[in-house]
Amino acid sequence: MIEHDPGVRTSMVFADMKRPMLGASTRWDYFSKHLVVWKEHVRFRTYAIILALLGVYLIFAQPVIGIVSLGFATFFYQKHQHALARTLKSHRTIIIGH
Amino acid sequence: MSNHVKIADLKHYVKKEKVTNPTIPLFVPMDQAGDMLEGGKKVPVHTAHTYTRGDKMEELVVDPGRTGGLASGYIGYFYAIVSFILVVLTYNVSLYLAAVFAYAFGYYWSQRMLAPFWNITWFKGKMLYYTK
Repeated sequence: MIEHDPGVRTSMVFADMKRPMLGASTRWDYFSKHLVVWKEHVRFRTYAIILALLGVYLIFAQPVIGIVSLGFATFFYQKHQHALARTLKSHRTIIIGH
Repeated sequence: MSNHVKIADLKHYVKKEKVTNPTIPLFVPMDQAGDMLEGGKKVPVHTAHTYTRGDKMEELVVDPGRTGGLASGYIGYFYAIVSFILVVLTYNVSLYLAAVFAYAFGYYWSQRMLAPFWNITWFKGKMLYYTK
C-alpha cells in the first residue's frame, strides 16, 4: 500500500471537458477579485445591523417605515450571508505555489 | 519592384491580442532526492500547497495583529486615529499619559503601513491555481 500525502486524493477526470478545470493567476489578482466581495460582506452586515436597530425603534414611532426598515434589514442580511459564502465560507480549492 | 516592406504596412496583418495569462514562475526543484528528510525518510519537496478559498481569505484578511493581513492594516489605522485623538485629549491632563498614547499612535501607524507587506505585497506575483 502506497502512502499518499493527505492532501492528495483520488478524483474523477473529465477527459472530454471543453474548458480547463484549473485556472492560473497570481495571488494578488485572485485576492483582489474576491476582496471586493469581502468588503461587500462587511458593508451589508453594517447596513443590516443599523436597519434592524432603526426598525425596532421605528416600529413603535413610525410603524410603516419601521416595517420597511426591517424588510431591508433582512434583505441586506441575506446579501451579507451570500457574500460570506463566496469568500470566507467558500470551499473552492486553490493551490498556491512558492 | 523591390521586396522591401514597410513595418507600417505589416501592422495591418498583426492581430493584437492582450495577454491575459502571462507566464508566472512556479518553483520546482529538479533534484527531489536531496536532503529533504522528514522523519528519516525522503519526501518530495513541498512545492505547492492546497487551501480552500475561505481559509486563505481568512488568513489574508481576517486575522488581526501582526499576521501580515489586510485587517492588521485597517485595525492599525483605526487604533492610530483613536490614539491620536486620545493624545490631543490628554495633553493638558497629563503629559505622561499623552506620551503613552503617542507611543501607541506610532506603533499602530507603523502597523498600518507595514502589515500588508508580509503576507500580501511581497507575495503578489506568486503562482495561484484555482478550480473553475
